[in-house]
Amino acid sequence: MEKTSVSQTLSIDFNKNITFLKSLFQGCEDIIFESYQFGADYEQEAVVVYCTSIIQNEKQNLLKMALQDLVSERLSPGIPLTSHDVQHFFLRRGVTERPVKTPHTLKDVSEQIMTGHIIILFDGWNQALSYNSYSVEKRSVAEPQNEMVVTGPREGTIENLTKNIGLIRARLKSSDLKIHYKNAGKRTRTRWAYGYLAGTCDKDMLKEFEKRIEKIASEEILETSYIAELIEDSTLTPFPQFRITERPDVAAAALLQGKIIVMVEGTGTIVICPGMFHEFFQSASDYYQRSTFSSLIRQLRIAGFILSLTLPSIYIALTTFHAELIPTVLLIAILDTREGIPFPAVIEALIMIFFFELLQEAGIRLPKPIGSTVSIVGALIIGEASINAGIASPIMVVVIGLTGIASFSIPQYDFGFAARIIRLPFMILAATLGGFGLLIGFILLFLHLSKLKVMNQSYLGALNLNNTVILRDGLMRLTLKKLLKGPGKKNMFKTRS
Amino acid sequence: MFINRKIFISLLCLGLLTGCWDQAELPDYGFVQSIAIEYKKDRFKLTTQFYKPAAKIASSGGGSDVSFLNIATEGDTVFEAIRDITTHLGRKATWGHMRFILIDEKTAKKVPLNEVLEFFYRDHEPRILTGIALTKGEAPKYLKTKPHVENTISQQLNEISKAAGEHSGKTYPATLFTLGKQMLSEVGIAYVPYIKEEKTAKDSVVVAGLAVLKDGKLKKIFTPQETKYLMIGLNELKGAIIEVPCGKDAKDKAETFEVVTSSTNWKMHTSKNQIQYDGKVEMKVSIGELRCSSALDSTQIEKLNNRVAAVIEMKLSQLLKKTQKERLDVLGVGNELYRHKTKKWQSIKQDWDKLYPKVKFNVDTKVNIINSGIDSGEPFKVGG
Repeated sequence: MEKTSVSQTLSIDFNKNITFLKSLFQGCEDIIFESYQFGADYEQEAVVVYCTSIIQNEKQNLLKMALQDLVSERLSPGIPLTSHDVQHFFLRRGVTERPVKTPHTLKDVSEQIMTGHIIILFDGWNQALSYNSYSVEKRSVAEPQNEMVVTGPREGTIENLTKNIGLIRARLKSSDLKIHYKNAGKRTRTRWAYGYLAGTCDKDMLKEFEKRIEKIASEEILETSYIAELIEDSTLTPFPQFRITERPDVAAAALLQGKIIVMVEGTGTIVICPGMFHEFFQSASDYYQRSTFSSLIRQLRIAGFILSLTLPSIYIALTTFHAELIPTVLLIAILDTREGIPFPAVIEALIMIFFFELLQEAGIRLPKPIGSTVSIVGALIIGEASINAGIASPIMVVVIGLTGIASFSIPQYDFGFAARIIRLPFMILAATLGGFGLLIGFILLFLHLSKLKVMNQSYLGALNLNNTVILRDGLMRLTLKKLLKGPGKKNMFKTRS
Repeated sequence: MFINRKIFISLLCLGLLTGCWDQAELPDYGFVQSIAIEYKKDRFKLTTQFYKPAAKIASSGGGSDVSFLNIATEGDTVFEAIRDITTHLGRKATWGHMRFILIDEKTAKKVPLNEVLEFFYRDHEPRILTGIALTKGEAPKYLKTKPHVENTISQQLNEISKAAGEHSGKTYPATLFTLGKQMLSEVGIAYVPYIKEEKTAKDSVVVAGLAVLKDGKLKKIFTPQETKYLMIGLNELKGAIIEVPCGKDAKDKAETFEVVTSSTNWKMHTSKNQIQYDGKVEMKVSIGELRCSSALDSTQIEKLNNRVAAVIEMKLSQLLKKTQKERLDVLGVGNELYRHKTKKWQSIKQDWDKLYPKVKFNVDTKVNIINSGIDSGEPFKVGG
C-alpha cells in the first residue's frame, strides 16, 4: 500500500481516508471514530470523526441531523440513496442546522478535527463535511482579581477569545475597530487576535507591529505575554514596555488612545501596545473617580515607586556615609537599634529583602487557606523574631516593610518588578559610594530609560517638555471636561485624520 | 562592542569600588554629644561625652539606664587631646552630632575663646550651630549630671539655652556661629550663656545669665534679670515676663506682663565730639497678673502702658550706665559707627574704651497692652 501523506487530497476511496486518519491519530484516544450506515437498506456508510475533549456539551449526532435534511428531499422508500445524491445534496443545498465546510485535503481535515470540528466522511466522496463544534468549559465573566475598582464595570476577560472580543466590541460600536485573527505555531495552533482603531492608531506604528508579528508567525504561543516578549524592543530591561489588563473597559480606552491590543485564545490577558512610562501609573479607576482625588492618588503612586526604588539605598547611604545628615534625635533612636546587630547595614537590608521576597513568592504559590498562615508566620519572622534574634534592627524592618508595600502601590504589577530589581544595584552603589553612588545610579537609570524605545517610540516620550500629556494625564489627571475636549494631542482620545 | 563593554565594566569597578574607604557602619562610630574644655597648667583638658547606645533587643532586658559616657583626655592643644580619644574608646569619634560645648569660667578668663575653639571652626565635622556656654566652676562635672527628660545632658543643655532665650529672655542662645560672628565684629563683644549648678537640688543645671566676652575673654557676667533688658537693647527679645512694681502703696507687690512682640530701633546722631544713641522700644504685651491696678477703660490702660514703659526705660538705662562704667560696649555702638561712619571709627577705634563711657543714650519706650487674658482687666476678686 502506498504511503499517504498529510498534504494529499482526500481520496475517493473512503477506507483509505479512514486508515490514514486512524494512523495519524493513533494513541489519541480522545479522537472518536463512529461509523453509521444509512440509506434505504443501510447500504451507505459514513464515518464521523471528532475530538471529544474539545467539543464538550455539543451535539455530536450531526450525521443524523444532516441526513434528516436529506430524507425530507427523498421521501419515497425503495429508491436507493447513492453517494452521488449525498454529494449533490450537500454541495448544492447545504445544511440547515449550522454552517458547514467541505474540506478537500487530509491536512485540512486533521487540522479541523484538532480545532473542534466534527468531520463526516462519506463513502465514495472526496470531500468531507465539517461542522465547527468547538466548546471547552470556561469561566463566567467575573471581576479581574488584580484590577479591582471601587466604582466602574466589574467585567473581566475570560479564556475565550471570541467572548473577549465581544466584550470590547460592545464598548466600541464602530466599524473603525479592526480585529485581525492569526494562528500561531504548528502544534498549539493558537488562535490569537490583534485589534486597533483605524484612524486613531498611528499608521507607522501599526506597520511596525505587523512587521514584527510576521516574524513570529511560526512560534508556539500559549499566553499573550509570549507575543509581548517576542515583539518587544528590549527584552532585558526590567521595565515593561506593554501594559497588561484583564479589563475590557481599559482595553477600550487604550484603543481610543490609539493603542494596539493583542489577545490570545485560552487566556484573559490583553496586552496593550505600546506602554509608555507614565501610563504605568494610571489605573482604570482614575477615570471613574473625582479628578482631584485621582491626581493626588497618582502622585502617591509615583512617590510609592520612588520609595520602593530608593528607600533601602537611601537608608544605607545615610547610615554608612552620611550619619551627619540624620537629625540627632532620630540618629540616637537608630543608634540604639543598630547597636548589637552583627551585619553592616547593606547586608542587613539584603537579608530582610530576601525574607520579604521569599514570603511574597511563597504567598503567591500557596493555596488560600494556608496563605494566611504564611502571612502570619512571615510577619512574625520579618518583624518580631528577626529583631529579637538580633538579625535586623526595628528601623530596618520599617524601611523594608515600607519598601515592600510601596511597590504594591503601582497599579501595573509588572512595573513594580522594575523597582524591585533596580533596588538591589542601588543598594550596592549606596553601600560602596554613599550618596555619590546613588547619584551615579540615578544617572545610569535615566540614561537607560531615555534610550529605551517602545515600538520605535521613546519610552519617556511623555516626559518631553513640549508634550503636555505628562501634566494633563501623567502627574495629574485633569478633569474629563479638559481631557476630552480640544483637538489633536490635547485630547485624551485623540483622532488622527 | 564586546571590548568596549569590558572597558566600561572595569571603569565602573574602578570608579565604584574605590568609595569603600570612608565607609563605616553606625556602630563603628562614637557620636560626640558634647565636650567640656578646661585649660589647666598650660594644658587643655577635654572631657568628651559620647552617646552610649543601649541595644534594645527585647530578650536582653533593659540594659543600663545611663545613655552616655565621658572620656577625659588632655594635650598641649585641643586637637592633640581630641586625637587621644581613640585610644580610650576604640571607636572613631564623629563630631557631626555634637550638641554643646562647655568652657569653664576660669579658662574663659585666661585663654581667648577663638584660640580654644579654633579646631571646631576649622574641622569639617562639627556643626556651626553647635551651642556653647560658660560654666560656673569646673566644666566636666556638668557632663556627669543626669538629664531630666532628654537622652543626654548635652541635649538638655542645648534645649535649656534655647528655651531660656526663647521664652524668658534670660540668656542669649549662643552657637559657634553667633560667637564667631560677634568675636569678628569691630568691638569684639560676644555673648555666651552662663550656666551653673543649683546647690539645693541634685542633678540640676540652670541658666544663670549671660557672660560677656571681649576679644574672646570673659569680662562680665550679667544676672538673668539684667540679661532680659540687655536683650531688649539688642533687639533680641523673643519672649519674656516684665515685672512692674505696684508703687508706693504696696512696695513688696508687683504685677507681671508677658511680652508678645518687642522691637528696638537705634538711631545714631554724631557731632564732633558727641555720639548720641537713641533707642526706640516698641512692645506689645499681654497682662499676666494684676494685683493692684485695673485696665478697664482706655485711661487705665494708658496708665498701665506708661508704667510698664517706665520700668523698661529705667532698667535699660541703668544697665547701659553700668556697662559704660565697665567700658563694655554691649550694644555694639562701635559696630554701628563702623557701618555708617567708617573713617571716623577707624580714627577713634584705638580710644573706643575711653570714648564709650561718653556716649549719650536715650531710650524711648512705647508699650501697648493688647490682651487682658480670659478674665476682665482687673485683679481677680474674692467675694462680690
